[in-house]
Amino acid sequence: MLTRRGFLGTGVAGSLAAFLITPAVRGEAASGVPIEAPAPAAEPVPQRSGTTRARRAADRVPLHAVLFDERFAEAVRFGNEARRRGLPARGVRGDLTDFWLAELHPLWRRQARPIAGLTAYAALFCLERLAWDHRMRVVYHGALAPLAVADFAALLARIESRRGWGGLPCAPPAAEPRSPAGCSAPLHAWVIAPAARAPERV
Amino acid sequence: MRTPPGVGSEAFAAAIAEFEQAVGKEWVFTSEEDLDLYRDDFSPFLGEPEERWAAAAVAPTTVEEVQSIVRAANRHQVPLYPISTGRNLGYGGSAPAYSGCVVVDLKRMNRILEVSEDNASCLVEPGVSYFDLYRHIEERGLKVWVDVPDPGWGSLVGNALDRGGGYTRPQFRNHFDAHCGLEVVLPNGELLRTGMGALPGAKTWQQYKSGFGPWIDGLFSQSCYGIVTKMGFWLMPRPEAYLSATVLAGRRDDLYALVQALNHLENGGITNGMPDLGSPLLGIQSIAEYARSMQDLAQPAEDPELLALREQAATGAHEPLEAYGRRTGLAYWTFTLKFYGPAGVVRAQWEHSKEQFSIIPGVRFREDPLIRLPLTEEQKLSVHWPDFGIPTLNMFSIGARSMSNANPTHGHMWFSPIIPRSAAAVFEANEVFAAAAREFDLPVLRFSLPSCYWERAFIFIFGFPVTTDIKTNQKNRAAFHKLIDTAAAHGWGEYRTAPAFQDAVMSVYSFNHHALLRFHETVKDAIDPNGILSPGRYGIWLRHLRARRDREAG
Repeated sequence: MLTRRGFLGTGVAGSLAAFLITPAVRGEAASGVPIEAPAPAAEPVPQRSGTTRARRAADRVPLHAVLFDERFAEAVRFGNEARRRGLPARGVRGDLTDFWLAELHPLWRRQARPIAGLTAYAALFCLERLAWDHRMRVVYHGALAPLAVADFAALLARIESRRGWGGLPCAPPAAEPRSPAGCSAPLHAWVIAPAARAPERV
Repeated sequence: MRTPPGVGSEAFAAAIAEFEQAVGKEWVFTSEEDLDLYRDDFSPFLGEPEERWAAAAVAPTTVEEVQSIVRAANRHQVPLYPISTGRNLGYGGSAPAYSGCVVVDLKRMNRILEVSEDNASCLVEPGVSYFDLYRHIEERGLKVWVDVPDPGWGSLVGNALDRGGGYTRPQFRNHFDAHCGLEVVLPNGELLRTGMGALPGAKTWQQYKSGFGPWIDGLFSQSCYGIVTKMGFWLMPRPEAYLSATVLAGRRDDLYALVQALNHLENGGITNGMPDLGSPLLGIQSIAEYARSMQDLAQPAEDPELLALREQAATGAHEPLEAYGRRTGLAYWTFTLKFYGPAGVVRAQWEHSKEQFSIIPGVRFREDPLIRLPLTEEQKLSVHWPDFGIPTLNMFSIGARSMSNANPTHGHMWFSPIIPRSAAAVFEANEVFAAAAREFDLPVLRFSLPSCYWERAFIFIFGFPVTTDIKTNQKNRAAFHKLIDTAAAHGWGEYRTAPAFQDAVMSVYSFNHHALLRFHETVKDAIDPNGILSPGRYGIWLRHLRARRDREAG
């Protein structure tokens, strides 16, 4: 059964980066990269069990996966860059169903875990709405030009530095990258994570 | 905090307090930030004052909580709008039909209460999604399929109540027809069970549909008469084998014989999957081809000669296009038939089908390899998943930019008229809608083929784009209204529509001075005297709101 936060992906007032960490998540970094949570909030937060538990500064949420749309050269480069940095990268070809059915849904049913990606908009649209049911929201969203992929590499670096999501700049929509097939399409960089504030509708 | 129309802030606060008492404070949502999630992602009123909004949302987890909410709403005259999972995109999403309602979000009622392999049935709550039930079945290795719509992230109950459809055998792909038994919280808070469920201790609630006396289940679909809290469904026993095969015909006028033969075969149960129509010469992909191509950014370039001949055909010169087809092997029409059953049976059904189509001069046949079920992982890579009861998200690429869609929109609203199952109706509807598109300054459709989701009728599904430009949306809404009237003037009505157009569609179902709507209103007045449940849904309003509707309709 979902918690209220899980239900709406909503939490107490706080920064963009405010995470709710369930006990199940704690110490379960597995293949993911631990992310540091922000300072604790005074207000208790409802947990899955229905009891409440205050958040702790030391809580960390591991990034589960970095998604990239392998139909686009820039996204493939991004995925390779993520792998080079030791992040768990997953390639998709537009349709998310396999990833959702086999991996993400089973995971999110157990625990909220952040994911990041560089994909076409449809994937972001679906994942954002699916994330709402699992107490997560889009906490970063930007449309990228080819050169701006470097910015996303900086985002990966930020993940690695365990500084959390707070204050991530939203890249402005820019010129569209080219796919290997010569198709023009915007790529969207995004991060979905347990969050305390709703993003703007995209 | 915004309040529902006609409800004072004190009364609303009192209602909210009672909702909180019923479900717990953490499950009542009143902040703008939370309520933003109940906006319709595909609202045709995006950025306009008419966009539907919720005054609050409440999320119960038990039937008793739903009853408490309904009773509190009656006490304070607060309108409610139940949703299952709120994923009815293109037909309204999670936003209420009437601004100011409190959304009763049933997502937490997500229990799969029973799946019977022997009876091939299930009983679920409204928060159960197709993905949930599919996973439940797969994890237990049960030999049943759930028929899934596009996409598969929505609720079984919600989709069936809105009369959605899928892809497998006819009795399952009509999702409301596939149901067996409802549990409903009525507008006064009373609990009702339909069919055999009305018998205390019944052993056959999900086995025998109609129970005893008038069968009222239909009253709770596309309606505002109750909140469905449990729903039974018949599931499709997993077949031994699947065969798909395509009939290819070369002349425009072959469509008459093709549809006639198809109807004969489908009405007789010989072909028992959803037929999938296409036209290579006209550049119309079948549904399965379309779904596959959505992931391909680069579509193959077409022969310029073919494009020019298509232009000619649009003006009535069909023979040159047919000659091109004879020369290149491209078919004018493709009808893909699907068969579920034992291997020997489906082969025999296809052989019989070929005989029926063989009266068409020059007809050709193409048979895909027979698939013995369940699918292997390798087979899954090449098939249209919904044909096998596997939910997908693939169709969401509709709104995404690709080579074939250079200008993706914010969303879409579906214009979905039902037309007769005949070639004559297909040709007529194309002429009528093309003329209407020219008249209403819409992109002119060259030629469209209908879909076969429903038995005995065709359905056209046209996607109207929803954009971020208000003027474009206003123009499209006006055109949508005109198309509703145009279709009605030819005897075609929509099967389902978004709240923005529900009054308009209901108004054309006007036989005998709107006898049907007057009956609905009589029922509504009788069972919901305070008008607290889903005002305006599918054009049904309570007495005190009808004047407003009529005023707005002019």
